[in-house]
Amino acid sequence: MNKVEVFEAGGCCSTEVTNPEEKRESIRFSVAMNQLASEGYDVARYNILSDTAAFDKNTTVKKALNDDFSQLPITLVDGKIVKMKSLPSNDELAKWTSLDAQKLGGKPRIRLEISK
Amino acid sequence: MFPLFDVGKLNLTPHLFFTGKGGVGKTSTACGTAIVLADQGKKVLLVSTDPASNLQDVFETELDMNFKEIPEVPNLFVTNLDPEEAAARYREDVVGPYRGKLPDAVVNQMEEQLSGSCTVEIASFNAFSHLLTDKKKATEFDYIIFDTAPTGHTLRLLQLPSAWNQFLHNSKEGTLQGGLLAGLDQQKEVYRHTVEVLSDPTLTSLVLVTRPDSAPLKEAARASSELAGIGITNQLLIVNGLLNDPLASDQTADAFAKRQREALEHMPDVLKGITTYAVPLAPFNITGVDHVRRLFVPSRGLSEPVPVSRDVDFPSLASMIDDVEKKGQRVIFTMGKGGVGKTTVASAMAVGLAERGHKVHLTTTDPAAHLDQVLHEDIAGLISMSKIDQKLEVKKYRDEVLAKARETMDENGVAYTEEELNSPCTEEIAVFRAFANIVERADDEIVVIDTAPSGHTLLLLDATEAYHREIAHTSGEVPASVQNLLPRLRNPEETAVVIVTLAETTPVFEAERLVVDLKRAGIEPTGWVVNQSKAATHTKDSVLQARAADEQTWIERVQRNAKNRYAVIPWHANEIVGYKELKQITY
Repeated sequence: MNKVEVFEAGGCCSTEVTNPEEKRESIRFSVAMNQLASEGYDVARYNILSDTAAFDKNTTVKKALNDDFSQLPITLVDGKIVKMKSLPSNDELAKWTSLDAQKLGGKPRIRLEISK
Repeated sequence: MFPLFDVGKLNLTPHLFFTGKGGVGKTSTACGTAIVLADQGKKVLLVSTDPASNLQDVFETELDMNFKEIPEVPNLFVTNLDPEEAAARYREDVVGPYRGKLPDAVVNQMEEQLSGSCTVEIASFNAFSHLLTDKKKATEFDYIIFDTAPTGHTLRLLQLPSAWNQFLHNSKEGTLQGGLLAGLDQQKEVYRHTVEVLSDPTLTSLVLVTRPDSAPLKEAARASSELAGIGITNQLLIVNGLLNDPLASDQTADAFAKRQREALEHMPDVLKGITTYAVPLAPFNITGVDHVRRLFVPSRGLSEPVPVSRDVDFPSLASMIDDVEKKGQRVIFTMGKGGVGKTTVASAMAVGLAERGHKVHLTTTDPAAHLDQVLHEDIAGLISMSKIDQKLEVKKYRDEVLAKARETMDENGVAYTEEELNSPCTEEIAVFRAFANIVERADDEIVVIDTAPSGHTLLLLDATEAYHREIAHTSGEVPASVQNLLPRLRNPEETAVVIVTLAETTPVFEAERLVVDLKRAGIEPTGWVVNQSKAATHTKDSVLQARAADEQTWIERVQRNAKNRYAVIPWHANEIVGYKELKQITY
């Protein structure tokens, strides 16, 4: 099973909050990662503020940041960088974990028609 | 109309939290309560977690995080837990070990992210919880009195199961708590216990402090319902600073008392059901134990003569407007805490500049200002107006985000996202783009705005936008208005930043912190305005005279802060609205 690791920028008033589109993107990603974790996939998220040690320990990430600190978020699959500067899409996550992308959309949508 | 706050006769709970808008007298009333209880032989701990605390002035002694016994008041111990210091320590704990290991740019960015008001809020909550849940301290003291209270936002957030779910921690508060709590389940237990103690009416009461004025009354009502909503139901209300016997022949005193009566008559309904006490306006400043003792006992005679304010003339807003004109500044914004009169000052400056023949655009965030009705008389061609509606901007932002959350997240996730959007930063961020667009208009006309993002937000968003510029594909083109914003605000030839405050302890401290924050972002204030000054009214009422004398020390401090570039606006009985009234204060 592939190991997916995502190294993210921090915290208070980070990039996503200037723009609801990005906030929604972050929600989409959180839901997908929670889903993968709950189904036992080997996924991890590291936030630079709360998991700084993980950044320091990972020489690949550290080197990428040394070149240009604005690379975050950085995604590694089995230790190799596969994506930088934006969060992985559900399709990408599905590809790396071999899970059906449909399953990563969060709770199923049920449409109710109420007639008057 | 309300009974006096006679501490000795009340049946108080062992924990008391004082809360209220800045400047209503939280610290003085908390100190007064502590001293009276200690005088009765009770063992009392007084805790300040207010970053703008003036406990040191009140007790005329150095205080720190240790429990210090006050020599004039046996049984009273005081501790000053500055949450900004605690936040700084926490920041250093997080960032320090990686200095020199991770790239400097990364380390700097981490530091700024941990410099916001949310970090300070959590740090002060941490301080509360440790005192409240320490069994030894709980039995050692009869009373523990706090001169601040946690906000409903913090308390609600900590009660949500998702706050503890690490995968949601990539967003604001989540990260902070994740960091603060870093893997300590024990801490989670402390927080749970804290909420329990807070919502036990036999242990904890909330003391809402207000002035008899509409803005602080509204704030008290908001805090009351918010904290009742999370279970803190044992509440009492102190109306502080009532002028009871105004000097009949004095216009200012008469108008002052009338305004107070009217504010209380229109008191918000939620406050009407709360047991309310009055504290009269003190004809002295609240420094020194002796003065504080007298606060609740007006009958006690004064040992020294009532101070009299010197009759001085202060610089008016006109000279500040002249300065702006001379320098050719084209972006003017007024900054200050809520309720100090930012909108009034901004409107007056807009009128003053239009009167001098300039084309001006005025933007306010205060929908109650009704400026459209106010200004269109003589200078309609020169002033245009718009509104940044904070509530509307926030609502748009919330709705967009929550729609996505509801679509994909479970109940806990949605609840967490919703609470996160209640954070004080959301409002600031939601208006940021609107603000940036308005500033851009300064290319063609002078722009006056009654608000601005904090230095912290500007720094973070500037770094953010730098980042966006490189990844335009995720968020589309970055508007030029945003790209140019910070350089423009930093340029004193282009931008005037006017700090608005009141000549009182807390508002001046709060304004000073605002200035520190702006300086961090490389923005230097142009001048200060002291609003609603009693010292500038030439009142003859003895109580107001004493207040005016106290104001003078704060005005002097403002004068030093402002390096003489300051103006004083006299206290007005009614809000200054309308073209004619605004014009008056600019000449």
